[in-house]
Amino acid sequence: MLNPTEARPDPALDVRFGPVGLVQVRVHRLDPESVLAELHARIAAAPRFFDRTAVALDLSLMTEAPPAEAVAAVLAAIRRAGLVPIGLTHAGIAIDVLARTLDLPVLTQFRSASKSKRAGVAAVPGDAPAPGPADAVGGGEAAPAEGFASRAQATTASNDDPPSATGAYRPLTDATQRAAAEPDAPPAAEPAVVAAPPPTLLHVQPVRSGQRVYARHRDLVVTATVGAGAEVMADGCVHVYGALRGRAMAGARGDANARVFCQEFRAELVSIAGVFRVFETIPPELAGHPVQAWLDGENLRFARIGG
Amino acid sequence: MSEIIVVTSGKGGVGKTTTSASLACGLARKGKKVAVIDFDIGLRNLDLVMGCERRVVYDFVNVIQGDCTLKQALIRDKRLENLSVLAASQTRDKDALTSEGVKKVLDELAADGFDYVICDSPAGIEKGAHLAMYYADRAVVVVNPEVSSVRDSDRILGLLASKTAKAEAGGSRVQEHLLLTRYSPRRVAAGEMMSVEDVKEILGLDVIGVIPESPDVLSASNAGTPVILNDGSDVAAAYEDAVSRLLGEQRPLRFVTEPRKGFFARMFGG
Amino acid sequence: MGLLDLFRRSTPSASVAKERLRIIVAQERSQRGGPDYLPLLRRELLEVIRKYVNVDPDAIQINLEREEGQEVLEFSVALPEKPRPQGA
Repeated sequence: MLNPTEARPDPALDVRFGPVGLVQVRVHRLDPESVLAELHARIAAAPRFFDRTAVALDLSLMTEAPPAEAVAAVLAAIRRAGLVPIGLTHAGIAIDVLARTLDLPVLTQFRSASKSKRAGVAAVPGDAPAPGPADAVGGGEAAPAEGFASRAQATTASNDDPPSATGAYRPLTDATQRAAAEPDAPPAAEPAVVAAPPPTLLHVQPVRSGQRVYARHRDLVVTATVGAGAEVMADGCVHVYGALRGRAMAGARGDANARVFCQEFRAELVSIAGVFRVFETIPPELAGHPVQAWLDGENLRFARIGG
Repeated sequence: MSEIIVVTSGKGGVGKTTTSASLACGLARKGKKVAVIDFDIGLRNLDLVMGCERRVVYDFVNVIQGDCTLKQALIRDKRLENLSVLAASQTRDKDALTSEGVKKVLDELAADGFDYVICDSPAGIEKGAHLAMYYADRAVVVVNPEVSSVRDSDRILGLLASKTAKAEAGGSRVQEHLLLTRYSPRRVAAGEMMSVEDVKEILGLDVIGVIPESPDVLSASNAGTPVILNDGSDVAAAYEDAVSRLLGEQRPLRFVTEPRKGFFARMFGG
Repeated sequence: MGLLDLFRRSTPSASVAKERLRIIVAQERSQRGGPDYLPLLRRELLEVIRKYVNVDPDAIQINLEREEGQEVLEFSVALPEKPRPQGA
């Protein structure tokens, strides 16, 4: 696991990459008050151990992309409890975005992390015995939703991952390449943990002509307009809470269950799993209305949402 | 063998795309099989001027990168059946174009029996503009009778003489033509605008067309109809003349003097 | 009216524009044709010279002059007062 740099005659530094013990705080809800209270209670059991201990915040139990302000409040609560939050554990692109907003690193684990090492985490007193704190980190995409599960398969099939990687672990592969640090994650051997929802790529800016937003392995939510000549793509579903004037492509890797939803339909092109339809003129019954598109066999269907 | 005509200018906003669309339509109306290609990767416009922006599924870059066949990407014009449009990609950058890729597309168009390929160049003298002109047999340099446009055109003429396949091979050269747009006979008469003769003299080239300044150009592009199809307008007639001259006909210049001044028209025109 | 136009025709700004252009265009044309390789030549020369002498980047002047029928490539290098050899 360790990759110590090769010894040179007189090196000024070593770059090392390896596991260190890291306390992880997995929150069940983003409530700074109760986080602070509960942390105080637990720290009371081992005050010295926790003094200025580095902590990674695990948000994998959040059902939707948490707002940055709420996360910042929880981080502040952790800090007030005497711990030092140093990053977020990884559970998908939404976390990546959040981490950038908060200027924190995303801490990832190696999928192949050695099973034997469980150094620091064991010391978390009173922690529930069940799944190690970090399981959910990677389990994020092993979504309970059926549609997503089938998508996970599809992506695995189309990917050149080692066969041992199940759909549930695919995000970890991504994470590996990016690994900024390697918290001593317990082995990622608990695929049973499916607590996290399918991570979503949230895009809040208008997508303008010539821009392309692609949510790999996940759903895409755009809370603004998608302009003419812009492209929004997802391996999962595409949701546009605004006017869709450009192109929307769901199921980009072939998931026929993916759908496209938008609040104001003016699309140039809609595609699901490669089946597409170009709108030279928009049928008046759809134009400007909330519309969803789905695949019915080989046919792309469109209908207004909510009457 | 198809003839490749680049429509270029150096300066932006002088009417390259309007001209490309109208020349393509004009040639197609004369029975030629024509393809018009937008080389402005990342800032496509030709599809809007041609009125086919909602029918773009695949684009030039898709063809070059092998995502689709050329046939799939060519958009048949709804008004003229022997006219096809190849749109630029809006989501890529200009590096997506390669010289080999462009050549492959042009060769395939030639093999498919296209008589003319109009290459609508992007502004500037960067890669896109360079590739648009590189394989050209002829060039239509669009120029406004205005200092910066004339200077940029001169620069482009220099590139046409040195940075094209023909120039590099030696022997033949790209046949160059000037096309003046936004020409205002009234302002020329008042001495506020350089005349056709002035521009011809500075650039040392013959003029293949003079397109008068007209609100018709804007309304045509608003409607997605190439202005040459706007029968009855002076602009359409002027483009029609330019197309005929491209095909080798001799036609006197029209619309270069103020209307209803027949006597003076004969003095200054042509 | 028509006659007045005739007299006014080449008076104000258009003729100024034309004169300016004539000069600019002539100037730019004269610069063309050579300069394509001149900047590169200049850079490479600078690199070579700097292997031996630490000269200033601005110390190299290159000029291509055309006189009837012949071209003269001229370059001048201003050496620093105390050339110091550079170790490789």
